[in-house]
Amino acid sequence: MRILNGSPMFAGCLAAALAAPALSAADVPPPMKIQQHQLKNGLKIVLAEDQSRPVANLQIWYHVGSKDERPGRTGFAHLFEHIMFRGSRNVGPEEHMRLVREAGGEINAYTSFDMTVYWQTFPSHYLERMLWLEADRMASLDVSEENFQKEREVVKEERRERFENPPYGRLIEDILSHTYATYPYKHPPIGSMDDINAATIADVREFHSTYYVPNNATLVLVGDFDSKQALALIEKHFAAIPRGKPVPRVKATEPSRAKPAEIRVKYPNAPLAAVVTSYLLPPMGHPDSYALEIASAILSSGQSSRLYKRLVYEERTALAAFGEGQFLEGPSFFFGAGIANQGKDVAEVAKSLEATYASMMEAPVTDEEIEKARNQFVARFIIGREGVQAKADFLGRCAVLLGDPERYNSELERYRAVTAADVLRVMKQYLDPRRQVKIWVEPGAGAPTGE
Amino acid sequence: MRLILPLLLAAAFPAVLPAQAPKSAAPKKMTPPPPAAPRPFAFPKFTSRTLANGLTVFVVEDRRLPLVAYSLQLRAGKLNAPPAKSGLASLTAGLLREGTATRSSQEIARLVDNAGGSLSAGSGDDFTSVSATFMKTHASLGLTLLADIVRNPVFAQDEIDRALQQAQSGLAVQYNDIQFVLPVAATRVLFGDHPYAYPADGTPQSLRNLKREDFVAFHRQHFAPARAWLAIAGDVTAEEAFAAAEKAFGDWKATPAPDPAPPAPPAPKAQVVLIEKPDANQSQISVGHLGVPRSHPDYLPLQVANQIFGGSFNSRVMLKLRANEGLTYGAGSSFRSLRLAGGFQVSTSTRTERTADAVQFIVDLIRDWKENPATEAELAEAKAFLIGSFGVELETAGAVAGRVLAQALYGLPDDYYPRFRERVQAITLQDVEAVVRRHIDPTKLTVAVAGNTSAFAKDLAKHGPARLIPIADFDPLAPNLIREKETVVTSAEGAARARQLLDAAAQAMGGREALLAVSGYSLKGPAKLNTPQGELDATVAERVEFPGSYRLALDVMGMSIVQATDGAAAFIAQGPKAQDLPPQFAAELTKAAFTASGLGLLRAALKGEAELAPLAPADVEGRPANVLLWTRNGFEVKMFIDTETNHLRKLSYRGMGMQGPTETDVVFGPYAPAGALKLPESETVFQNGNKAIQRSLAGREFNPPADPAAFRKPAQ
Repeated sequence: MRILNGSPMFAGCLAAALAAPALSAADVPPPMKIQQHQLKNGLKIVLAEDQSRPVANLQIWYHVGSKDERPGRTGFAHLFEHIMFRGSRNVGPEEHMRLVREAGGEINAYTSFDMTVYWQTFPSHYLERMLWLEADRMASLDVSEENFQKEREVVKEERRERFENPPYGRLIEDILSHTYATYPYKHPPIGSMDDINAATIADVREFHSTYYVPNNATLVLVGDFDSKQALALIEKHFAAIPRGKPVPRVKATEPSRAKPAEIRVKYPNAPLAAVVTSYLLPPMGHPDSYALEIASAILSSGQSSRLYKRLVYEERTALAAFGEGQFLEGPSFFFGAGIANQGKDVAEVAKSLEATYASMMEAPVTDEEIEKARNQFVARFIIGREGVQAKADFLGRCAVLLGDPERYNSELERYRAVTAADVLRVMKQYLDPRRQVKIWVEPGAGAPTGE
Repeated sequence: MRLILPLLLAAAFPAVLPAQAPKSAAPKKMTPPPPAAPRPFAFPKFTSRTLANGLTVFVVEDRRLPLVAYSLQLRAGKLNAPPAKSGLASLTAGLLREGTATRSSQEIARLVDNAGGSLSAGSGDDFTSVSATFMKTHASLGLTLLADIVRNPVFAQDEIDRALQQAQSGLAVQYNDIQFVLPVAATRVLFGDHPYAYPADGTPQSLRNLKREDFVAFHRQHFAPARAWLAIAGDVTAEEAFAAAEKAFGDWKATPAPDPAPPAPPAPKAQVVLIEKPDANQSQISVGHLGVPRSHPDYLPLQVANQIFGGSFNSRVMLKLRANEGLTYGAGSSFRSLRLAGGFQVSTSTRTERTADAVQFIVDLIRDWKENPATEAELAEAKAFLIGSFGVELETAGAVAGRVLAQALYGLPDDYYPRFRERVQAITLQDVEAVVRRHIDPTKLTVAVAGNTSAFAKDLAKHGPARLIPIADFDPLAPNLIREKETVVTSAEGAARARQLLDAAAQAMGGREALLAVSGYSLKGPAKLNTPQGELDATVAERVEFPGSYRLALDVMGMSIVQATDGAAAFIAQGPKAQDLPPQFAAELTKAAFTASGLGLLRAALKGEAELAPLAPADVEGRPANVLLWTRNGFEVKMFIDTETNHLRKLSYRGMGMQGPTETDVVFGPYAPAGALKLPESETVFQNGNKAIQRSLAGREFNPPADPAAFRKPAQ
C-alpha cells in the first residue's frame, strides 16, 4: 500500500506543518538532491552527491527478505547474507571486507523482513573498487560446501545466543506467529533451527538466481563523487550482468482481526511470568503510520514512556515493561509487554498494560510527551544523519520500501505534523481491544523452596 | 571449488565450470580496480578567540545540517589525582550530569531528552571532556546545560553512592578477568609510579577512598577557564557562537591548582610480569616499552610504521600470529601517545599451550622490525589507510570540533589536521626507518602475560627477570603490585592478649561450654538485597552443621537459588537444576560455616584450630573495638570485638564472590538471647564497600537433627 502524493490526508498534514510555529520550522535540513537512473538490466540507481567530506557510502538493496522465504526454508535470506561474504569469482572469502577496511572504510550488511542490504563507507577515491566488489558478488557468488557449512553453524549459534538461550528470547517468535494469521511476517528473519539445518547449497544457487539479480536490486550511492563519472563506472561494472527472471512477490494479505485472541506459552528459562499484547498496524508510509510511530514511542520508548512509568515506576507490578512498533512494507505490528514483579499476579500486569493503552484513548497525550516524541524523531533526521551511511540507509528505505527516493525530503514533515489529536485517533482505531492478541508467558524456572 | 552462477548467465562470463574443476582450469582471477588519487578536500575553516578569563573558544561554521555540536575539554584527568584516589577524575566526570545547584539529575535528563539532544561527560589520562549535540532551535539550551554541569555540579551524596556502587560492581567482575587485568598490569609496570600508570576507573580499594569532599575539591581545583577549551561546530556564525560562549562562560571565575610536573616514567628494561589465573585456558599477552608523547615530531611517522607492523588486517603481527601460525583471531600493536609520555604495545591472546611461542614470535618480529622497518609496498598501503580513514572519521561536526581541539590540547600546529593528508603523503621510507630505529628496542621489552602461568613461566624466563602475581592479589596501587597484607604481631604478649580477647568474646556470647555444645543451627528469615537496580525483598534460609557444612537458600524474584557444601564437595541449584561447584567455591562455602554469626570462628579458636593475633584497634560505626586476626588454613578473618560489651560487632575477610575477589564486611546488629547463647539478631553484609544484603538472624533453631542430604547435590 503506497501513499499517494495527492491524497487528502497528506495535504492535511502539510497544512498542519505549515501552520506550526515558526520556531520549529528552523530545524529543516536542506533538501538532498537526488538523481534516479536505471540500467537496461533493471538495476535501479539512486545517487546523491555531497562533496563536504572525501567519503562515500555505497549500498546494494536486494528486495528480498524473510517474508519471501518459502515454508521449510525460513531463515534463508539471512543465512544467504552471510554467504555473500564468502567469496565470488574474483574475490576470496572475506576479501571484500579486508579490502574495505584496509582502505580505511567500514562494511556490514543486514537482513530484515523486507530486504537485505549490503553497505560500505569508504574514502571516496575507492569508488570504482567498491562498485567492482559489489558487482562481482551480484554476478558470481562462489561458495564451497565447506564454507556453506561453516556459515550455517555461525547462524545456528547466532540463533542460540540471541533467541534460544536468553530467558525471553522466544518472545518475538511467538508475537509474530500469533499476530499474523497468513502474512509471511509470521516467522522472524532468523528462521527456525530445523529449517536452517535443512538448507542446502543447492538452495543457495536457486536463491541467488531468483533474487540476487539486477532487476531486484537498487544501488544507492551518497557522498563525494561526480554523478557522470559514477554512472559511467556503474555501467562499466554492472551493465553486463544479465537481467534475471521476473521476481516472485509476496501476494498474501492479512485479514484484519475481528475479535481478540489469547494464547499461553511456557518458557523453560524464564524466572517470572509475563504478558504481551500485540496489534496489527498499517504498513510504513500509510497516512496513519506517522502518528502510530509517535504513539509507540510515547507508549514504550525509554524510562519516561507510559508503560515504564506506570507499570515499573508507579505501580511496581512489573519488573520490566517494554514494547515496540515495527513498521514494515506489509502490515506492521506493535507489541507492549510486562514481566511480572516477584509476588505480583501477572493478570494485574495485563490489566495495567490495557489501562495504559486506554489512558491514551481517553485523553490526548500531554504537550510535553508529544513535543519530546516529535523532537526525538526530528533529531533522528538531523543529528542522526550527519554521516553518509545514515543518509544512504534512509535513502534506500525511501527508494525500495516506500517506492520513491524523493520521499527522503518529505518524510520528516509527516512526523512533524503529528498532533496529539492524531495520536488519540490512531490509538482508538488500531489498539482497539477487539484487535488484540494476548500472550501469557508461563515461567519454567523452579518455584521458591521452603526449608 | 564449485562455482555458483545464475542460471541465465550468458555471454559476458565463461560457461559454468564443472563442480570439481582443478584450480589451474579456473579462469584467471581479476584484480580489483586500483583507487584513484585522493579527491580534493578542504578541512573546514575555524576561528578562535580567548575570553578574558582564559577560556579559549573555537568555532567551526558548518551549515550542512541545522545542528550545533559543543565540546568542552578541561585539562583535568588521571594526571591530577593521587594514585590512592584512582578513579577520581573519571567519576567526577560521571557525576557532572547528576545534579547542579539549580537542576536535579532527572531535570537535566528530561530537558536533554525532550529536546532530542545529547549531553555526556567522561575523563581519561589527561583531559575531561564534556560534549553536547542539539538541533539548532535547541542549541542555546544545550550550551546552557553544558555550562551548568561544568560550572555548578553539586555532587549529591546519594548520586555519589549510586555511582560508586555501580563502579564497584563493574570492577568486581573486571578484576577477575584477565582481558581487563592484563593491560592494567602492563601499563602499571611500564609507567612505574608516573600518574599514567594507574587505572583511570580506579580499583576496588581506591574507590573506597573516595569521599564527597574529594569530588568537590577535584572540581574546584581543576575545572577552570584557564585550563579549558571550548569548540562550537555547526549551524552558527562565528559571531553568534562567540557571543553565546561569552554569555555561558564569560563570568566563570576559578583559579586552577598548579599543573602537576611528575617525574618521567622509569627507563625501559627487559622484564616479565605474570598474572596467575590457574583456571584460565587462554592467555592475554602484552609486549612493549615506552613510546612518545603526542606532540613528539616522530608521532606521525610512527603511526605509519605501526600500521605496517601491527595496525592493519595484514600487518606483520597479524600475518604471523593469525594467518601463518593460527595462534589467535586478533593481534595488533599500537603507540598510545598521551600528553606527557606514551607507550608502545603488541597485544594478543592465545591458548595456554602456545603462549610461550606467541611471545617468542612477537619478540622476533620486533627484532626483525628494527632491522627491516618497511618496504615501499608496505609504506604505500599504510599511508593509504591513514589518508583514507582520515576522511571517513571526519563526517560529523563533532568530529571536526574534536580535531580542532586536539591541536590546542596537545600543542600541535594549527594546520596539523587541515594538512593531515599532505603530511602523511610526505612521509618517506627513510622517515619510517629512522623512527623505528630510534624508538624500538627489542632488548628492553616488558613482557606481561596473564593466564595459567605455571604452564609457561619457565619458558618466559629468558625474556627477563620475572615476577608472579596471583590475580586475586593483584593491586595496581601497591608498590610491588601485590595487595598488602596486614602485618601481624606474633609474640608472647600478643598471644596472651589474643587469648584474653577470645575469652571475653566467648563469654559475651554465652561462654565456652555453651558455644562448644552447639553442633549447628538452622535459620530462616527476610532479607533485603541491594542491587544497582534497587532494593529487592528476599527470603534467606541458612543451615550450618559444624565443622564445615553450610547451606544457603535464597528466594528472590520468584527464583530459588541454593548453594551448599558438606565440606568436601559443593553444588549450586536454581529451581530443579543443580550443578557441581568447582573446588574453589566449595572452599568459599565452607568459610561461611565459620563466619555465620561468628559462631564457627569462636568455636574453632576455642578448640585451638585457628591462630589468633591482635591487630590495632579500630572503630565499628563509631564505637571502639579490639581487633583480632583469626587464621585457619590460609583463611584470614578480622574480628572486631566491642571494647565495652565484648560482642563480636564485625567481621572482615576476603573471599571469592560470584563476580570475583570480594572484600566482605559483616556488621552485626544488636545482640539478644538465642537459646543458651547471645547472638546478633541481624546483620548487614558489605561487599567491596557496598551494602549488599541486610537480613534478620532471629529465630535460630539450634542443634537440629543431622541431615547430610541437605548439604549434598540432589539427584538429577
